[in-house]
Formats: sequence, structure tokens, C-alpha cells
Amino acid sequence: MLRALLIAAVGLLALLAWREDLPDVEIRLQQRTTQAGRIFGGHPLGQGFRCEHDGLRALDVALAPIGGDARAIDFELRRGGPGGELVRRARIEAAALPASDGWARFEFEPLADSAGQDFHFALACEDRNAHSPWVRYRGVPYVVRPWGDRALEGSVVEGELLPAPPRAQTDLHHGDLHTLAFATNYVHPQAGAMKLTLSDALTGEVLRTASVGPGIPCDTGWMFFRFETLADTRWRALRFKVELPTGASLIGNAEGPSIVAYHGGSRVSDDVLGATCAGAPLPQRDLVFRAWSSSTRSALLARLRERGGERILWAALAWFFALVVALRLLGRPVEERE
Amino acid sequence: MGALEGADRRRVRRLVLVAALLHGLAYLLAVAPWMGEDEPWHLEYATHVAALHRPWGGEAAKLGEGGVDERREWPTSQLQVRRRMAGVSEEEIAQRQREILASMGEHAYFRRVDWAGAVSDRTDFDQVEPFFTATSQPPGYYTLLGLWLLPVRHAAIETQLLWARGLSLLLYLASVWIVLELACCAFSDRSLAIAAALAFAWFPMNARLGAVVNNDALARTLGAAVLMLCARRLAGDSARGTLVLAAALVALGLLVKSTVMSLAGVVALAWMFGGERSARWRNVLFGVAGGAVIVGAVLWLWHVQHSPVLPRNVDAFLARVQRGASLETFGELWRTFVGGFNWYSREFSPTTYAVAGVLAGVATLSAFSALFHTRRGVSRPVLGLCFALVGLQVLLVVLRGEGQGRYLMPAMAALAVVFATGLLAPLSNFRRPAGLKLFAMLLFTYDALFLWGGLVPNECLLWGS
Repeated sequence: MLRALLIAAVGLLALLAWREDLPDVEIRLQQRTTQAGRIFGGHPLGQGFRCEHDGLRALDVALAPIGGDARAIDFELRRGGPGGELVRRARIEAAALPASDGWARFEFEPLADSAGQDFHFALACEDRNAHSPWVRYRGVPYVVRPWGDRALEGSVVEGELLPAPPRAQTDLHHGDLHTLAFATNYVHPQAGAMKLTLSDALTGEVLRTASVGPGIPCDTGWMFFRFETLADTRWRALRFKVELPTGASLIGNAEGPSIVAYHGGSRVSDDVLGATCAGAPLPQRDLVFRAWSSSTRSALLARLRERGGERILWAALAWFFALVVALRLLGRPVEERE
Repeated sequence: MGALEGADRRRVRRLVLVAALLHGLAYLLAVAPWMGEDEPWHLEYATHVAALHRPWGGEAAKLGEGGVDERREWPTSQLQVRRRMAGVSEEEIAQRQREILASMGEHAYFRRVDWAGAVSDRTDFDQVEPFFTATSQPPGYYTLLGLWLLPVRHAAIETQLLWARGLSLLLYLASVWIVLELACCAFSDRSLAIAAALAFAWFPMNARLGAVVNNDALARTLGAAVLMLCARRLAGDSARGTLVLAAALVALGLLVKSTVMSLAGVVALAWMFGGERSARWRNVLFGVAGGAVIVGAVLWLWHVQHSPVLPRNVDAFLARVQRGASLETFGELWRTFVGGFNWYSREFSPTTYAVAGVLAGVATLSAFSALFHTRRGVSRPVLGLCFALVGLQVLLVVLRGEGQGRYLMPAMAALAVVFATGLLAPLSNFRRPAGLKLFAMLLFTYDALFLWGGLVPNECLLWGS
């Protein structure tokens, strides 16, 4: 029994050791495909979230260095939304920003009463910086063409999404297409709107239109054109036309622009409240971030109780008694004892 | 210390099975719904069998014939199911997928599995993993599971999942019992036999396989059974039926999963080296010829079953072998064998894998040396057979080009024998009981770290938003 208790203690310690590693809120994205682009001066990128526990003390934001001069990033945390009460500030100097794809941590004095409250943080730079936050768009992604190697000429870019050759595989594998993201080289903050027209490749009938901006700048990032869901897109041929404002250009390769198609639903956990640019909402997307609050044992156990339920308790009991029985095997054989 | 026999053997068997039952139950309760790798696809396949659809003779998709491309109408995962299952309608397939996806969303699957994305409202399996299906797998396991599901076929999908996991638990218990029998063939030493049985029953990823719906669970049980029968043959069991039964189980296994192909090699070895010395060359000749016929038949069967195991051409085969033989694949194989969580999207720390690697390396080298030096209580022919199975299993991984730990499961019984030999056999008879205690404590600690420091926190505490 003593040995069983010893092993059980190891298990318990291993479980409790997690309390330092449990973010309050986290966007976990194993394959990061879409970055927001550089942060422009006067156009901070932000994100809202709801805190689960008291003691909010740090925010990590996933950043990718995309070339150019690194600049310090200023961080502001507000209660409620982008216009709410400013509660904390932080700053990471240029030299301390991640040299490769990684988390940048903004630490601040803990907020004692953060549990259950909505917050909004914003990242600001004096001028275009070298780091781009990663973005998670709410949809089922399907990469038509990954980030390309060249800027595409022209203020109008047209092309087709094809179901079969010459493509190696279909461009539109799923139904319910609702968003197309285009890799964008540059869009000035004062530039006009970008417009997407989607039509049937065979009949030429215009099926959907969408626009982005004005006032949504982008440098080396992805622009998301959202439109009313188009149901029957599976293995279909569509034609797209992107009209760009002056000075703007797309990224692509020899085959055409880099595109990610988003299909299906868009329901995510209600503790993430969406991204913003200069305070304006960027629909259906979130910056990739994690928030850290108190790391008490009781918070861990509360989460275990809430998410694991009684079955974890029964599992622990079964596991312990399995140990007790198995340890009896280590004793002497029957004949020797007799 | 002598062999495991008589009343002591019965007592040990009873204790091992009770302990394994409790251990398996702990995993059954701890693993959250849909957290077994590919579980939604496996259950989907079996529920169609339970609905009395034959798992062969379905209708192939029209890919442009007569101007009709059905991929526009239905997701490819649903067309693949229709190709396998006779008489199932597209609506029925779509409905089943929606039912499973709704349950996955409800049970936070998309918040637990990092590569799946967080969006919880999906309408077909392609929206989780495009171009993927379980229905390209042979129908053996799904026929058994479909029959097992018959009593609950009208119940909620979560009930069917739990019931299906119950079959995996039974297979796990059967495997533990078989491994104890194997250990009694491999060792005439009580401590070594118990160590092998515990190593099998307590190896965390193996115990976890007893709590999820997966055809690897049956492949693992068949692997243990075939190895045990062949070991008996090598240990002197001259009954002709032993190898016939082993061969029949291999044939059955090939209708379960391609990873059991290695067992054909084990039967061939037992056939060649298990008989009388005078007949050995004749046996080798028959073994090679029979093996070639079996391999040819199996390759043909997989081809007509659209198995993804077969590469499409020589270039694809070479690329697959190159990928399979890479360090990256072996690294992945090792990590997912030692411990991978949340559909392999999360792992232990690198130190854990390194420590496990050192221990496994020492055990393997030590066991390998036992092939050439006498170790009291160890049957060298049986140990050799275990090494052969492990080698063949790793070879299959290389040929498949994918390193996932569960592909080693048909050789799990062999690995348990190798680990027990490597870590305990070098000790003197007098020290082996104490060595067994240390061995067991290490194993139980590993299991505690896996379950309470890995599986439970990753599945219950760390969710994406």
C-alpha cells in the first residue's frame, strides 16, 4: 500500500506541476498560415478576450519576423473593449523581440479582479515594424496556393479556382465557401477599398462580391474577403477578380496569387472576442495569443472538475486500485509463503 | 527462483488480469470522447456495419463519366464510405458524419486537438481532414466491431462510442492474458515472466489503446496470439495444429490491418526452425514459397480494396521508403510510441523521450546479447523470434513511410519480452525478485507521469480557444 501511495503521489505532483503552464485563454494553432502583416503607425492591432481567473499578469502574442527594421512594440490593456478604461501598459524594445517565429511576452502588474471580465489589448508601433502578429481566421481553411515568392503586377488581378488539372489537386475541396484570403504585398493606410468579385467560371454569372477597407492597411500579410456563404463550391470552377487601390499589390507565384479559402462554420469558444485594427473590428478573426492569470492549485483543480467531471475521479480510483493489485505480484510465490 | 507454474501461475494470472482490468478501466474513464486517433472514422465505418451494410461491394463514385462528377455533390470522405459499404445511401452517410461531428464539437474535440483548428461547427469529415477515410482499411476489425455494436446500434453516438471502447478493453485484457502465456514460454523464471506481463499491461500507450476505438487494438491482440503460438512451437510444442492456428490468425489479421504482415514472417520462421532438424531445409523451401504466395495474394487483396498502404508507382514507393528510413520518421515513431497526446498534437518534454530512449537502448542491447550468451531462465529461440518480429515491424514502418507508434503494436508483446529480458536477465537468480520490484516501480512511475502528467492535463486542462 505504501508503494502504491508513493506512485500516486508522483502522479499527483505531475498533475499539480501543470499549474504554472496553464494559460487562462489561449489560441492554439499548430499550423500558422496567415499573418496580419506589419503594424502601421497609428493603426494598432488588437484583440479582445474574456478572462477566466483573477490575477491577469501577462499576455503572449505570437509574432513572426518578416524582414526589415525591428521596432519596439507598445502594449495597452483596456477593460471592456478598445475604448474602455486603460488598465495596464507594457513595452518590448526592438532588441527583445523574438528573432524567429515565437511568443513575445508583455508582463504587467497583476490585476486582482480580472475573473469573468472582458479585456482588449492593442499592439502599437511608431512606424511599420519587422514583426507581424499571427492571425487565426474562423473557418475551415484550405490552402489553394501558399505564400508566394513575388509581388504580382497590376491593380486588377484575375484568375480561376479550378476543380482539376492543370492543378495537382482541386482548389475548392469543400462546400460552404465564405471567405477568400489573398496574400498582400502592400496596402497604404490611406488607400481606398479593395474589392473582390467572384463569378461562375462557365457562365460568367457574378455570384458574390466583397470589399475590404478603406482604412485597413496591410504590409506583407493576408487580406480576408468575407461574403455570404456560397453553398455549392465543392469541386467547382470559379473565377475571381481582385481590384486593388493605387499602390497596392498582391503576392503570389507563377501560377497566380496566394490564396487560402475558408469554408464551413465559424463558431469558436466565447472567451475570444475578435481582433481589431485601430479599434475597428476585423470580423471573424483573432490574433494568436495567450493570457496568463493566477496559477493556483485551486484554479487547476476547478478546471479539472469542470472539464473532466466525475469520470476523472473514478479513473483515479481505478488506477490506484490497479496499482495496489499489481504490487501484490511483486511478493513471494504461493509455495514459498506456505 | 523457478518457473511460473501450478497454483502460483494461476494466482499470478488472476492478479495480472484483475490489475489489468482496473488499469484498463482507469484509461477508459480518463480518455475523453473522440480522443483516440482516427476514432471518428473507425466508429463511422463500424456503425454502418452495425446497420447491416456489407463492408464490400459498395458503389464507386462517378468522377466525370457521362458528365457527372459526384465530388461536386458529396464530400470525398462520404463517397469513399459509399464505395466500401453496400446499400448505404449518401444521406445516411452524411447524417452519421454530422452526428459524430456534433458530438465531437460538444466534447471539445476541436479545442483539444491543436492541428484541427478551433471551429466547432463542421458538416462533414473532410472539414476535419480532407481526402481521409477509414473505409480504405480491410473490413475485419469493423465487421467484429459492427457485430459488437448491434445491441446499441440505435443508441446515441456517445453510447456507441463507449460500447465500442468496451471491445478494445476486452481485447486489451485478452492480450495481457496471452502475453502472460507467451512469457511462460519465453522464461523459466518467475520474475522475468511477471516483468514481461507487467511491461505489456502497464506500457501507457498500449493501455491507452485498450481505451480507444482503433483497428490497431485487434492487430495488437492478434500479434500477441501469433507470437505466443509460434513461441510454443519453438519451445517444443509439436502439435501440428499450433502453427496452423497461427497461420489462420495471420490470415485473419491481414483482413484487419496491413501492419500484421510482419506476423507472416514470424510464422514462417517458426515453421522453418520449429520442426525437426532433418526436415529444416524442406521447411525453409516451403516457408519461402508459401510466403511468396501469401504476400502476392495479400498485395492483390489490398489493391482491390483501395488500400493506401500500396504506393501507386515505383517513384512513390521509393519516396515513401526514403521518408520511412529518415531520422525524422524514427523520431516521430519513438515519440508517439513513448507518449503522444491529443492526437499526437502534444508531447512530453524532449528530456523524457531521451531518458526513455537510453533505457530502451540499454534494455535492447542487453537483451540482444542474451541471444549469444546464456542467461538462466531465458529461451533463446523465443527471444530470437521476438527480435525478428520487432525487426519486421520496424521494416514495415519504413516501407509504409509513416512513423506512428501504434504501428508497432502487433510487436508489443515481443517488445515486452525484450525489455524484461534486457533489464532483468543479467541479474543473478537471487537478485531478480528485487530487480522485478525496481522494474515495476519504474514502470508504474512512467505510467503515473503519462496518465497524470500528460494525458489528463492535456485533455482536460489545456484547451485552445
